[in-house]
Amino acid sequence: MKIKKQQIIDYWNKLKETDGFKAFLGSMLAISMGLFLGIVLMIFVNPSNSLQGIGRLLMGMFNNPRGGWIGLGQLLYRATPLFFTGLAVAFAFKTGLFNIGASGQYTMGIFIAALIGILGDSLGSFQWILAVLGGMLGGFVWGFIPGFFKAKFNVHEVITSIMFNYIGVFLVNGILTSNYLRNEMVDLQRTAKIDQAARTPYGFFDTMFPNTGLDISIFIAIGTAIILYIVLNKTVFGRELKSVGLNRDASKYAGINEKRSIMLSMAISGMIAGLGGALFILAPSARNFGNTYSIESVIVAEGFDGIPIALLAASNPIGVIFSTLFIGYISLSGIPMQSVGYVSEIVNMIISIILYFSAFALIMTQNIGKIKNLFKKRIKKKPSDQVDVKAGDL
Amino acid sequence: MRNETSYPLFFESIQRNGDEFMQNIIEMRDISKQFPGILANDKVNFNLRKGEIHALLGENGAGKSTLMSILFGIYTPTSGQILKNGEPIEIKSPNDANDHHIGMVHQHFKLVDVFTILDNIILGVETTKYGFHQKAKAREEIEKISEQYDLRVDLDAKIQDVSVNMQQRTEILKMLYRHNDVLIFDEPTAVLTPQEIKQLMSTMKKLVKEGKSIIFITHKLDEIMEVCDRVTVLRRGKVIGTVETNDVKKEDLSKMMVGRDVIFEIDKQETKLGDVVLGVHDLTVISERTKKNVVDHVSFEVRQGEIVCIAGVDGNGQSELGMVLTGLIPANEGQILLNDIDITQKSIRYRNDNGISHIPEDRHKHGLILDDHLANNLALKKYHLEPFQKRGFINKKPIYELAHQLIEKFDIRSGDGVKSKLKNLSGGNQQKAIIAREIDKNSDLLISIQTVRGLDVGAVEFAHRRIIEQRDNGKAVLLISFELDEVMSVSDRILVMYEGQIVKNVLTKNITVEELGLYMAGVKKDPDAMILSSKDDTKTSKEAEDNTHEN
Repeated sequence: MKIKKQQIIDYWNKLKETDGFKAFLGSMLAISMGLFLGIVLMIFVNPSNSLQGIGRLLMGMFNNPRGGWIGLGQLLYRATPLFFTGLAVAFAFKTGLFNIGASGQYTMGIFIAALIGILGDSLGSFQWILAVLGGMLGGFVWGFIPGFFKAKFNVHEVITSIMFNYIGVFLVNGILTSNYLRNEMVDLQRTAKIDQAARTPYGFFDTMFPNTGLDISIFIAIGTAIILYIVLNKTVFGRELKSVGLNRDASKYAGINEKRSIMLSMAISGMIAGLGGALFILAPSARNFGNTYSIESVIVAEGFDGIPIALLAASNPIGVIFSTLFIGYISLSGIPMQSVGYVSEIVNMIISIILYFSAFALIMTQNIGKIKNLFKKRIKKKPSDQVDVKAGDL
Repeated sequence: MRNETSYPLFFESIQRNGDEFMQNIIEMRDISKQFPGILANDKVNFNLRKGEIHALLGENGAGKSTLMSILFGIYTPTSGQILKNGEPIEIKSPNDANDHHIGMVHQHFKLVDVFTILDNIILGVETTKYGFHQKAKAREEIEKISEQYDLRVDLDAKIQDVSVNMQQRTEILKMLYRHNDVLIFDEPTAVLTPQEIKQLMSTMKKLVKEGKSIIFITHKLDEIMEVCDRVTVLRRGKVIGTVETNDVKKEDLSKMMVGRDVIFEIDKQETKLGDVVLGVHDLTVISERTKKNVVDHVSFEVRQGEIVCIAGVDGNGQSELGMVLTGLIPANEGQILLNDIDITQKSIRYRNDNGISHIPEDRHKHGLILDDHLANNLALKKYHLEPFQKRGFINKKPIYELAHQLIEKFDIRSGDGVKSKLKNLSGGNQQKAIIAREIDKNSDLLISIQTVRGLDVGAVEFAHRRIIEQRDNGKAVLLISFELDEVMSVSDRILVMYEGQIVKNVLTKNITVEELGLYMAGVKKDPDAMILSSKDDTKTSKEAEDNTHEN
């Protein structure tokens, strides 16, 4: 019995020292501080309804009138695209690149998937799979181009990838309204519906979470996160990508083809965003406007929403799963809070506050030793208590 | 001058440091500095007298830089007290240090490359009138100072266009313009030629004559013996002692520093020369910026069992030569042969895996991934090979085993062992990590550039021994060095490089330091070597052969 306890303590001490745990701690710290400040803000704005408001804020998916279970389905459905963009940004971050272009890559994914999903009638039951692969390819190419400029000409990827958001959106709009496709695909400002055969299967989710729109994409998302985690942490390929991110010159010196690594990192990141876009447009639910893409001159928000998710997860792919779920959960509170006198944007404010703190949290966890010392000094003033407690515990 | 026999016990002199007869301008009392996992300074006491040159000596990671960073306000000490002229002062930032007239010439200069020397000197302390620059006045003052101390600079030249030597003079002028009276020199001689070092020494002597006080950090014992009045030796964060240079010998100092006897003379056994490992023919590199031939039709060979050293003043194409041989930059013309295989167009990985080890010039830029930990850095060139990977997956166990082995064998000191982030290691230990990795590769050819930059005598001895061991095992070694001591003591053959060309090819035993200096400065050129290095390949190898037979 005693040995077992010791083992647990040892394991705990080891865990405490890992970078992953520190990052987790930092995120938790940021979230609690963000929520706290958000609540203070809510009390300040509307004191009389604050109790109800806070209740609804914290309830998240349980606000759903059909119950928490359906709420969970809804949460997962709404979060799926964010999983992918979050993973895309996180992957790029881990390899030292800042992919702001997830929106453009996502749009390209939507476009190619829609193209195959609408025009590829002859593909039969493979249609949805090919549409997904096509979407991935679209994102891949759209990520590759900024990577290429970065590797070959040292043009910063932030600039090119931002530009490629716009280029992506307007290129897609342009192609859709061109003479080639207009008659085939577009009806006024929307594309035609995706063929039934091109829609992703529900799996068992339509019986499990009826009418939430959830389909197998969520599995693909979690699978992608796990694959990315393994690639980054366990493989030679991932090690090379990370090395290039940490020090490009030293990686070159070590014999890594650093230019290829940069191009591949961006392209893979784009591919993940493209996958998200494809799965979004191919979703079987009627919720995304009947599976049509609407021609607008606005960059889709999902790509940018991926950035806070990746930041909160400290770019860890597994962490992205949790940070997406958290942000999805709290986003669900927005509408219910309106009925008690708060604007739904207050949720966005809270998310922003959390983000600010997660940047601080990084600094705080890095200096966790110092913070501990501060506490230690205070504790030292009454040393006898401290020692006794410890001895008893062990 | 020096009396070598009268005071064999240098500890006596510590007791004489009652300081009754001389005023301490700086006193550091019981300074401790705790970093995570390491106590960098442990109750260090350090006194600087007015008008003396005081050397700070110690191994890599002994805490010299930390101590000086505390004095200059970059770190705040965990405990302890600093006094100036007997009064306690607090230094929380370099600005505070400046207010107390403490100045420092850093090892890596802190200058703005695109500014003129004048602008660099007055940066931050500009004299203004109604918010406008009063450069003329500043110029006058700086000219006066530079006259007074014989520190000649071209005030209107931009930093990026002037030599390292002039950049250093600019740094010194910067301190003097700010009326600093305590001057810290952090390894100032590492980047200079012998002639320039002499000049710097005389400048330092002039400075103390005018009442300045100097703290001089260096690893070079000869320099200490020449200019310093006293030496404080640090070892593992503690003061071992403060001695007067008149009372001690070089050997005593190195013993204090390392804790054991250090052998300065390296004995080298005669070895037999084997096959040509590295053949360079007509190699040319054109600089992208200046369009000049930075490496200008260079030809030479390195054989098994010899250490060939490329000597020369920094900036004569040696760095580029090292980079082109290891594949970091492409060759514009010519051929590189490794074991008779043309590798001119081969990738860096090919060269790494087929017999080139490379200790790079810039350890932070090329040699190490500072944000990664020690084990990964020690396996930086091996992780893609079995058994460190299997079917594309990293195998951590052998990586850690290798790291443990190398840490022990090469005495790499760090806070958390194999998991230490490289950026938390001292410069010397970082360099040791690189040397460990490259020598452990056991390649046919070792290309080592500035191997011992920033290493203490103990570590230098160790590194040189390892390099000579490689040679004795029948490996070929190409050394690129700016330090004449190293060139003379380690190499078997010397190639002097001047403005991209090889101007002398000579066996080490057939040349003196003075003569070498003349070739390095471009005063003398050996037309034979130049012809050899430019056109005639066959003759080069023949010449090399002749040389080796002499050996």
